[in-house]
Order: sequence, then C-alpha cells, then structure tokens
Amino acid sequence: MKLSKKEVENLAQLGCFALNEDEKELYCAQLSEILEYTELLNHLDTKDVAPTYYVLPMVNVKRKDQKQQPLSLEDVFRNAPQQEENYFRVPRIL
Amino acid sequence: MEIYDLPAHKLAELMHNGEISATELTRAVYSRISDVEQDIQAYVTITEDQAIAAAGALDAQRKAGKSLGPLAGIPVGLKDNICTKGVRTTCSSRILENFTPSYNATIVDKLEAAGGVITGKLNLDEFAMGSSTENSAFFPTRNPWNLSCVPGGSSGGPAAAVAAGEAVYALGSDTGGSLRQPAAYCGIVGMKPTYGLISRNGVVGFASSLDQVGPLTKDVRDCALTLNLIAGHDPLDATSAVLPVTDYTSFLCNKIEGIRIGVPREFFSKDLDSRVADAVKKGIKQLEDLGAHTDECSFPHAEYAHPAYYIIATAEASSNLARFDGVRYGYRSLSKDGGDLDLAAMYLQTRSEALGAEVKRRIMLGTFALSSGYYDAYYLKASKVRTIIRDDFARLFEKFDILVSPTTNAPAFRFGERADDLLTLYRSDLYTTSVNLAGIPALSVPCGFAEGLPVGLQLIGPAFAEGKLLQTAYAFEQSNSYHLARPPLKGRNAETSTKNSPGRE
Repeated sequence: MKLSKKEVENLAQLGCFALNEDEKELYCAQLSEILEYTELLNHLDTKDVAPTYYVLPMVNVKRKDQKQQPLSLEDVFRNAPQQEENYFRVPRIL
Repeated sequence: MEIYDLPAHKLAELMHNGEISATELTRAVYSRISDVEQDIQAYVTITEDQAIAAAGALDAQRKAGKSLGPLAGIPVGLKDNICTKGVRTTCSSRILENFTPSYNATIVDKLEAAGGVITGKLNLDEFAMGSSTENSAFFPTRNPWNLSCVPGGSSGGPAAAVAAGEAVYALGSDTGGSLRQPAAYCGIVGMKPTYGLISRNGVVGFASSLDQVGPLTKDVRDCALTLNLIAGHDPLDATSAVLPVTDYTSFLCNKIEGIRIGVPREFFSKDLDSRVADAVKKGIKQLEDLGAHTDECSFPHAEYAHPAYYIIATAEASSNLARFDGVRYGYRSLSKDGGDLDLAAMYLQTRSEALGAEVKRRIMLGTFALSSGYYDAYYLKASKVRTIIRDDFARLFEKFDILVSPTTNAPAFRFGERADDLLTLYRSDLYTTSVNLAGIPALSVPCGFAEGLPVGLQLIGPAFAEGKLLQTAYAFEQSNSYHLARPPLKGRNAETSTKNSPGRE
C-alpha cells in the first residue's frame, strides 16, 4: 500500500508530533516501502486462524486490597517539568 | 588475561579465595573504562562513586564473615531502559534525558540484594528501536572488534561494554533480537529467556507482549549464574510466570549425547552471508561430534515472521510511547520566550522535538496498523500469523529438543552502511524476531569469526527450556575457544578521566 502525504500527516497528528515538508516526503516513501513489505502476509490464508495477543495463558491478576506505602511527594514530583504546590503544572486548558 | 577480561565465575573464585577484593576489581573495571571508553562510547551514565562505595561495603561484609552469593562484588552494567532509583534512565532519548526514576526495576533490586556492583547505564537505540545504536539520541557505540563497525542493537552499549571489559556482564532487553544480535556482533553470549520468566517491572516498555530482559555475558556459565539471579515471579509484573526456582548452573554438565537438534533450512536462505554460513555449519558439525543428533527440518512460515513482527511491535510501541507527553516527567517544550505554550501545542512540540526519527517512524507505522479501516488487514492479520508461527515452532519441538540457526544473516556492518536502506537494516534481525513472536527462549553463543568479526550461533528452545539451551551451549562452548578470544583493543592512556566528559555523572 502506498501512503499519500495527507495520510502521513494524519498519522503524525495521531502520534502527536509535527513533520516538516522534507520529513513528510521521506516518511511517505519509507512507510510505503515497509507496508508493501508487510503485505507479504497476504499470501497466507488466515481465515480460520485465531489471533495470538499474548503467548502465556493470561488470567487477571488481583492483589489484596490492602493499604501500602505510596511514593513520597518528593519522589512523585522529582521529575515534574513544572510544579505548583502539590500539583503538576500544565498550560491553561480553558 | 587482564582482570577485566575474566568472566564473573572466575572473578568470584578469586574473590572467594581472597586473591582480589570487590574494590580492587571495581577499580580495575573503571580503569579499563577510562582507557577504552573514548573509543567504544558504551556508557550514557557512569556511576563510579556509588559503585566503589558498594564494592567497599561488600568487602567489609565478606571480611566480617558474611556468606555472599556468587555474583556479589562483580561489576555489572545496565541497559539504559532499566529503571534505577536516583540514577537517570534515558532510554537514549531526548525526551527522558533528565529522567531520574523514583524506584528500581525489580531486577535491579534483585541485583543489589545479591551484591551486584552497578557500573552505570549503557547506550541503546532510542527506546530499544534499532539494530546498531545509530538511533541513540546521544552517540553511537562502536564495536570493540572493529571501531568502524556497529556493535549491534538495540543492546549495543551493554554488549560492547562486556566485550571490551568495561563491565563483567550486563543486563539488556530483547524485543526482536536486541540481546542476541549485539551478542553475536560483539562475540559474547546473549540470552532472551522465555516471555514471563523475568520481571519487566521498571523496564521501559517498547512492545509489551514481546519484550523480555536477559543477560549479556562473557561465557555460558556466567549466563546461567545471571539467570539464577534475575529469574522468578514478581507480583509487580502481571505477566510474570509462577515457576519453581531452578539452579541453571546444574545444567552445565558438558554432555549433550542424544539431544535432538533441528536445523531449519529456511534460516540458511539466500539472505545469509557465506562466511557466517560457514562458521555456523562448522558449529553444527561440532555439535554432532559432541553426540547430538542433528537433522535438517523445515520452518515453513519463517519468512512471514519478520513482517508480522514489524506490525505487532510497532503497534504496541505506538500505544506504549503515548505516555511521553511532557506532563509529569521528561522533556517539556516551552514557547520561544520561555513561557507556556497552549496545551495542544505543548504536546505536539514536546514530541516533535524530543523523539527521534526511527521512533516517529515506528509510531506512525503502528498507528497505521491499528487505525480504523486498516486494523483487520494489518494488526489482526499479523496477530493471526503470530499463531501460525507459534504452531510451526510447536510442531518442530515435538521432534526436536532444540533448533539451531545463525543469529544474524551477516557479521557487524559498518556505520552508515545501512542507514539509507531500512529494509536491509531491519533484516539484520531476520532470524531472531520469530522467537519473540512465539515467546520462547533463545541464546546466541560465539561460533567463529568472519574477517576478524565475531559470528554467533543461535540455539532456540521451547518455552521454559532455558536449562536445555544452557546445557547445549555450554558443551559447545567448552569444545572450542571462541569465548576466550578478546578484541584487539589498544585503549588510550588513562590520563583523561571519563568522569570529566560532558554528560557524564
């Protein structure tokens, strides 16, 4: 499948980053090439095959609902780009 | 051999006999680092002061008569996607350049409890996406066997450090071959254990259904010792398997008579470099001489594993990497005058500026595969092919105990050589990705050289057959001397301390 520049723009927007014109052209060619390579899979008939998402038999794991020691406030905010009192500061939303 | 050339089990013996202290050993490793690090560039962060202090504390404990484990006092390096409390963990990405975790990964807690002396954090392709460390946002690591060649990736920093004597052993991660491929390129042992054998808690996720942590070591005994230390159930990882504790060194018996080894002919296709093919075939002959029964076999859907892997891995990555948004940790973009951007612009600019080209490429590919209208044709299709690959392996393991193949299709390539040809670059993990799709264990062990560059032999086993892999690899290794070879690194004089290099702490 060949991707259009518009589709690449849309993918970048969904991935939440911006691309300049050169990048759009480059990714357009590269992603199209990779997608064409993956289309090799269409040679296989998978009509009656169940998908595998996890290789181990997965069951829900629950822990006991017990009080635990949380991280200290200092640890929680250690990497905060911006902090105000005991909050992460973010740009205005409204 | 120099001290820094010795495997962990030999060093442990010397330490036990009082011939060397943990402090002396740690200093020897740092002296080696200051000698060769300018050439190799394996470390993103060096933690010399903490390591010397930890080694000193262990020496005091040993002196006081405390009984210590076999890896106590041995310097170990960590791939920089493994969280270390109080030591920055960058994933070799700008977005986490100044990220300092508030907790240790479970495997780091285990290492520390066993007296491991952590030398520092090692370079990788950004977020473990790549095969050469050329995708590191900071610098590429060089192959100790030939400085103009890549060390492999994504665990290129850890593999190069172990091969160069800058760490005695290391821990890395493997999503599609990221331990085995660099191990092969650097002439050491690298194992991807069964999915679920080792806790992933605190290891930054790339593709969560494929990622697995594992050891990079100078020989097979060290691999078994490291596995002893890090394997086991962890309540903090919901995908961690509950299994009885095993002593993996008990498999190192040097006997493999009667073991049935399959040789899938699809792994010896036209993509394979003839020098690598020669070394691997010689290795297979050696296994026969040791009494193993080898037989050619077919892995019928081998060629579909690699494209299926690229869809599944990128789909999971696009979801995992959504968390890096500049809000609670990591890099955040500001406006030109240093003030706040509006929220949407902050997200967009943060990720535009701080994620690298390969990461963006994979996020877009994964987003495409998961997007409405294409989900069935790409992601669902690949997930079904994953079942077919698992079934292929299951059928082969009815007949064989182990499969053998080359680890990579060629020896280490030169820097830049594959930068413009993505599909050729991606194909350096042609023989490794199927193993991750099936969640089974595999290891790479040195089996020769191609024009001075190491070649790796891959052994693949059914789920939780690490013991059998180690048994076979050990017998193989003990009947040759490739694991004793060390790269011809001259090193520079030790006058310039790496501690003074920019970006190091």
